[in-house]
Amino acid sequence: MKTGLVLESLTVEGLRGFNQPQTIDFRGRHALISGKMGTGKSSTLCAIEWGIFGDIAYIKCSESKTQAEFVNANRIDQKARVTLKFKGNDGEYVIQREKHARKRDSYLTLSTPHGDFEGDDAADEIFPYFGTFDDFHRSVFLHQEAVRAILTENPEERDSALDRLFGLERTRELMAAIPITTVRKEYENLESEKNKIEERIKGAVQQAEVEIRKAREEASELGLQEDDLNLEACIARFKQLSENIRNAADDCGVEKPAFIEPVNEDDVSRALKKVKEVIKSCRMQIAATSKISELQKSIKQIGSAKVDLEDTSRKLEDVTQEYRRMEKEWGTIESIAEEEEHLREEEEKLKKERASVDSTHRLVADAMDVLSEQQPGKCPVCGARISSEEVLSELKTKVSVALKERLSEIESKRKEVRELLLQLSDRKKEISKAITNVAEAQRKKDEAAASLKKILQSKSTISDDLLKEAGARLSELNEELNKAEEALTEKNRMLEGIEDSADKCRAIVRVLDKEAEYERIKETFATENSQIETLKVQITQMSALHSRLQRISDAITAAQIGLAQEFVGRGAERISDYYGRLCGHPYYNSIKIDIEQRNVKGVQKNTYNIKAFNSREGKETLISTRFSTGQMNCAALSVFLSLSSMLDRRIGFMILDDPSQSLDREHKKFLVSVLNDVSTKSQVIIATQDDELEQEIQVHFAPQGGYNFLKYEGWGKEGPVIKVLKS
Amino acid sequence: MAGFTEMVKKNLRESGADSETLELWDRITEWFDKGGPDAVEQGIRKEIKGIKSVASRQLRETKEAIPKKKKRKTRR
Repeated sequence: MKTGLVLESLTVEGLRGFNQPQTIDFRGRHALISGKMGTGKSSTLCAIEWGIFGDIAYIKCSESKTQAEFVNANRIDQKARVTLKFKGNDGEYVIQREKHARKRDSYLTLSTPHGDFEGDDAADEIFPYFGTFDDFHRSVFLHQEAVRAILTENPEERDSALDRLFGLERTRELMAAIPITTVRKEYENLESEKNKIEERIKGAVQQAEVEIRKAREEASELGLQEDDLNLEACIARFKQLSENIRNAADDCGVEKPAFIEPVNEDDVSRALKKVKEVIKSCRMQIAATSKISELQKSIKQIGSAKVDLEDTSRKLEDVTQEYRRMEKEWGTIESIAEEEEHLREEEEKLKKERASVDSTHRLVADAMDVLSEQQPGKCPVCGARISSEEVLSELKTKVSVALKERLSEIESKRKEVRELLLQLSDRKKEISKAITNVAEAQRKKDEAAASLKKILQSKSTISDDLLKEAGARLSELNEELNKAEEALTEKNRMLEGIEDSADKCRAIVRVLDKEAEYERIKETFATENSQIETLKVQITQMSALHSRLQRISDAITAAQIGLAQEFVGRGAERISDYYGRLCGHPYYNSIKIDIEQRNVKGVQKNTYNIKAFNSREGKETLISTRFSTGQMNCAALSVFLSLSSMLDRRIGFMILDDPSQSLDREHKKFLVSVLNDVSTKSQVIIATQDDELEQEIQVHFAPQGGYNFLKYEGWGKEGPVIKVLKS
Repeated sequence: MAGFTEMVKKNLRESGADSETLELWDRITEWFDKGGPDAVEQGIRKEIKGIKSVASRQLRETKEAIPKKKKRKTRR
């Protein structure tokens, strides 16, 4: 008994190989579309899906967003148009889709017994009948490319598709909308925050205890006893302290501070700050009024000037002694000058004598030359007869030697004189330098004396007197300085005593403060604990919400599984029947769909595994991994045909495009047998190029009311040439 | 969907769910019928917010009451 929409007619124009309008009249009957490869069978079937969805599976026009290739190239108006007429229980449904080659979108109209629709409204109206594009291919239109896809495609997509087929899509949406993970995270966050706060409270109490202990230790180090660590003792101590600081301020010339009567730790704390300021002012005042620095400055100045004078005097004495020693040893500078003059005269004489001896020596040398060269018999001067050899010998031995000796003597004396002159010159220089040194030392001593005189404001100019006077002044000043320092030490001691007292008061206040803080923390957390209790209640509420949602989620999951199992259970017998008839596997004699749950991002979803199994031994296997292509096609066909015929839906036809791929003759016979069964519930439209299947159908396919047999014989100008062989 | 809702409710009853869980399920189905999955998510988030707002206030108040740790001054 066929239910739902059945295809009455299909009119195609301008789509793929179709040019002029061609109408294929199905009249709600089954149809066998046969023909050789490329004669337009698939184009006819694709026209059906394009008409309904505006798209064709397995043909992708990725190069062109407008999908202009769907439109016939010879079409003058560049338009493709498909009109589908369906017959329903309540009347006729007409779907018409039109598309221009240059436009991306197509235009859809729908005419139903309940009204006419167009555009998105028409698409919305179509959805309840045909589902999504994917659903259509899983349950209505088995593409030749998709026979095995139901077994091999992505499990998530398959799960989602089967859920839709089983009518569980809405329950999936409902399940996904329940944010269990969010609730759990919120609960965990609250719990974590609460724990952190509890830890912090505990830490704060411990910290306060540590600080009290520390404050008490500090107080103990200052010599305070347990009895001192109270407000009364602190105030009493402060009263004494305030009296002392007032006296100290008076003593130091600082304005006396006024204190209000302290009644609590804060008052004492404030007053102690004031005490600190007063002590600081006292110290500044003492420093400002003290003569110590002035005295130290004077002592330093006089001492320095005194040392300076002493040094310069000593220096003068030293250089004077040196000068006198030179004078005593070498004589005065005048006597040295006289001696020098005398030596110069002597040198002059020697110089002259040397010149004379030298000229005589040259004369003798000339005479000797003459005698040796001319050897005259007479004296060239007096004309007396001479023996030149004898004279020459005489001159050589006596005169020349004597002259040489004399010259040597003269030179030796001259050298001696010159050395003496040099020595005298050096002495003169040294004495002159000593004189200069004495003068310089005297000048410096005079300056030092003048400086000391000025500092001391003395009338004396004598160095020794000045030095004595300076010594006396220094003694006086040192005595005065000692006194001033003693006075300063006394004041400082007094201020330090006050500071010690202030430190003790401060230590007591710190202990009291820390104790008060500890009490406050304990008191605060006594209240806060009740708040944490309230917080715990809130956390419990969040936890309860999570538990309830979890329980609801589990119940939904159970219901989903129940529904899916019920559906699969209903079809199990048929699936196994079809599989047994179609596949005839020697070992795995049956097929089943296992339903399990899997968690996807916190949401439980059904997952479906299609397995073949051996009913006798109970062994099972995943079909996609163990079966041959032909066996896998048989398994896929059995699942597709059984589920498709079982679905409670509003489509009363199914389309099979080349379903006999990889099947042998025997299996084709089985397929026809199953189709006979399926044809009792659905209008079956089969396209094939397989002669064996065509023959099997012609012989064995005998649906009630017969079927249309359309033979595709090739292409004409207007489109495919279709011959109706049986109608 | 109505059959499914009843099936879930039956499962809940059989698993011993308390009346508050059943009421929550009723609210969820009501939200779903009225506004689909978005309405369900929104409704549950509102319930979370209701609990969380009270809890957040408590947390904030408690945090404020805890004395802050004193930072040690370091001499440079």
